[in-house]
Amino acid sequence: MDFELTEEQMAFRDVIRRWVNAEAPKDWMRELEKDEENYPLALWDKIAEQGFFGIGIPEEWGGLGGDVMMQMIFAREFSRTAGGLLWVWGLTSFGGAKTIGQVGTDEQKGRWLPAMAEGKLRVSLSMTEPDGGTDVLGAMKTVAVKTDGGWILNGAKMWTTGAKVADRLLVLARTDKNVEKKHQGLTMFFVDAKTPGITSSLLPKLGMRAMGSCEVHYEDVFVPDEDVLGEPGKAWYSILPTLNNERIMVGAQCLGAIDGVLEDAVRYMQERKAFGKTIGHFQILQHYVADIATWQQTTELLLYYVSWLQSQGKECGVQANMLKMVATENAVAAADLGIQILGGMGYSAETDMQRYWRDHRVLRMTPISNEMVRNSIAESLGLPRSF
Amino acid sequence: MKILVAVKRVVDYNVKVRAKADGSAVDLANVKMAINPFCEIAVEEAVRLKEKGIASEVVVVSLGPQAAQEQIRTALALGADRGILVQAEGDLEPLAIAKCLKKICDDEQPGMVLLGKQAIDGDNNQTGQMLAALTGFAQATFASVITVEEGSAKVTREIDGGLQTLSIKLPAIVTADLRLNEPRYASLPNIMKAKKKQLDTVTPADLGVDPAARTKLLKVEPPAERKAGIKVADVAQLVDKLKNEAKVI
Ligand SMILES: Cc1cc2nc3c(=O)[nH]c(=O)nc-3n(C[C@H](O)[C@H](O)[C@H](O)COP(=O)(O)OP(=O)(O)OC[C@H]3O[C@@H](n4cnc5c(N)ncnc54)[C@H](O)[C@@H]3O)c2cc1C
Ligand SMILES: Cc1cc2nc3c(=O)[nH]c(=O)nc-3n(C[C@H](O)[C@H](O)[C@H](O)COP(=O)(O)OP(=O)(O)OC[C@H]3O[C@@H](n4cnc5c(N)ncnc54)[C@H](O)[C@@H]3O)c2cc1C
Repeated sequence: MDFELTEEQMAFRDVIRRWVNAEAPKDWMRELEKDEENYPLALWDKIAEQGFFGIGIPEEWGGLGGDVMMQMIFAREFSRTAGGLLWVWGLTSFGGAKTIGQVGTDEQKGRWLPAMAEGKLRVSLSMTEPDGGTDVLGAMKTVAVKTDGGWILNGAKMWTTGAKVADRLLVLARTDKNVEKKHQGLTMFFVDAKTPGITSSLLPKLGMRAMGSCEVHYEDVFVPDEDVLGEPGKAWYSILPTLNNERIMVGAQCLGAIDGVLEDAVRYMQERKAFGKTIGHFQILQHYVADIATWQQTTELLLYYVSWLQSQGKECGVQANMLKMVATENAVAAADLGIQILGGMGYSAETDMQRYWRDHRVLRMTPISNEMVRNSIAESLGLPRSF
Repeated sequence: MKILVAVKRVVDYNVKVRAKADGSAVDLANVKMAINPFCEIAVEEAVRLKEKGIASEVVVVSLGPQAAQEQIRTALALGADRGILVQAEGDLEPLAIAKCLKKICDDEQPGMVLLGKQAIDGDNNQTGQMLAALTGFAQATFASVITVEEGSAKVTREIDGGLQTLSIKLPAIVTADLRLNEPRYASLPNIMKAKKKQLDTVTPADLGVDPAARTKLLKVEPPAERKAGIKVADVAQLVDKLKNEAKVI
């Protein structure tokens, strides 16, 4: 058994850590996150400058290469300061590129992957609908009908993050109603965001505010055939293989947040004084950070394990779900104690604790709720499906 | 022209070092190590000279434990071509290092040797100068600009009170100061390629050098804790205290 990262993985981690400290420090991330109305394009440019959108995109398609381990390392290090702004990188480099890489034709890869790697094409994911995200297929009303040379798309999507600044929207729609099961008859479209008929409105929210999540309406939107991803009617089968990676990214984001919380908490405990000594002397606060450090270690072990299973091509659906649950719950619990340790300052918009809490609270519901995760872990034990 | 760059493995500059309880040394247990920042600047400069077509090959040398390979790989990921590890345990003194580098210069025949002006652990600021004496090469320390010309180089040096520009004959020893450049972030493909680049290991004995120490470390202690400051009521009081108590004006 070997729990060490490889030499290259460590070297990459060190480079990212240096870049994050110099180019994306917490103070700046805190300023950017607050601004509900403005997507952090300056951060996008910083990431593009170093080519980091190309992490995980093969070199032959203009990327930097690297597997899920490297993406995991990047996500953890970046999230330590960026928190939910990690998705400035993640939506395109991870969400978009992963799907194109999985189901795109060579012609489509050639058209989009190099542009994504260079930071010239921004992607938003438009899956969830107003009637429900958990039962996304049962709630799906968005439809696309075949027409000459393409499809006509109609419907509404909810929570499409970054929609206002996206160049392309990855939209899941029903293209066939005469099917036995609801995961059949679905098609994925990579829609040019400038197509007439698309309107979006901002949904103000608790955390990762600047990420601009939107309700998006599609009204008679024409999508040419060459922008259909994968085989029409079979989209669900192409989404499934990306789910484990998504859980890994969420796990890495949460671990990065725990790293950030822990370092801020310990530093504050060494500086802040009460009753004539630094508050780090008080046993109860020591126990709080001991808990946070233990959650950090537990999350790391599960994250490394699942990333390793995935990079070896081994089955890891159940473990990936466990990781998602543990990581999100630990991150929120850690940020909550972090706020407690900083006292009133933990609640202040001038420190990062409140941001860590707000940004990660959402991950207990998204991209899949922890209730659904528990449902599926229970099912893996041989129990009947509860819904 | 071949460029030789010396790099040292030191405690990462972000780490707050602690002395061992018995005062015998700095505590290195579980401490993050990194390439000395001035050495990294030297590597970056060599790689830029190669990118400009001035250097043909960049060879990095590190003297230290087996683990110093990591710092050589860091330099290879920045763009150096191959590495040499002179493997030796314990603290090496500048003279022993300079002697090893001298032998490597004999073998490699570089047109320029780039080093950091000093390492942030011992702050000795001696190795480059000693190497210049041993090789008889020209030297320019504390470089903030290097311009290579035909058979010579112009080097701007950061000296007390200003800048000094020297013209030196090649081969030459140049030590890098902070403002020479800002090292790049190694790219993922270059990190992956670094593993495949050639890295040879030799020992001081192979180079005919006795690395035995000539000085003895007596004690390592942390700096005295800063005493609490005071608040002054107004400028007049400040000036008075600076003049009469601190006696600095
Ligand atoms: C900030 C933010 C950003 C988002 N970004 C995107 C994006 O970019 N693209 C996108 O497509 N979507 C996005 N989403 C949507 C997200 O994926 C959904 O919110 C999520 O899937 C949950 O769906 P819902 O909000 O409709 O909740 P519901 O599905 O309405 O769930 C409500 C509650 O019921 C519970 N529940 C439902 N079914 C069961 C069951 N069988 N057993 C037990 N409990 C159950 C859930 O766990 C939850 O607690 C985002 C959401 C947020 C909040
Ligand atoms: C939104 C908000 C509104 C407020 N409004 C007002 C107001 O209107 N008027 C006003 O006067 N004040 C107000 N306050 C201040 C509030 O009362 C203080 O924040 C609170 O008393 C905690 O003090 P502190 O923030 O300085 O934390 P600190 O005293 O610095 O405490 C930091 C941490 O150390 C812990 N700690 C300290 N001593 C010990 C010990 N001996 N043993 C164990 N743990 C210890 C604390 O529990 C805490 O976890 C407000 C604060 C906030 C955040």
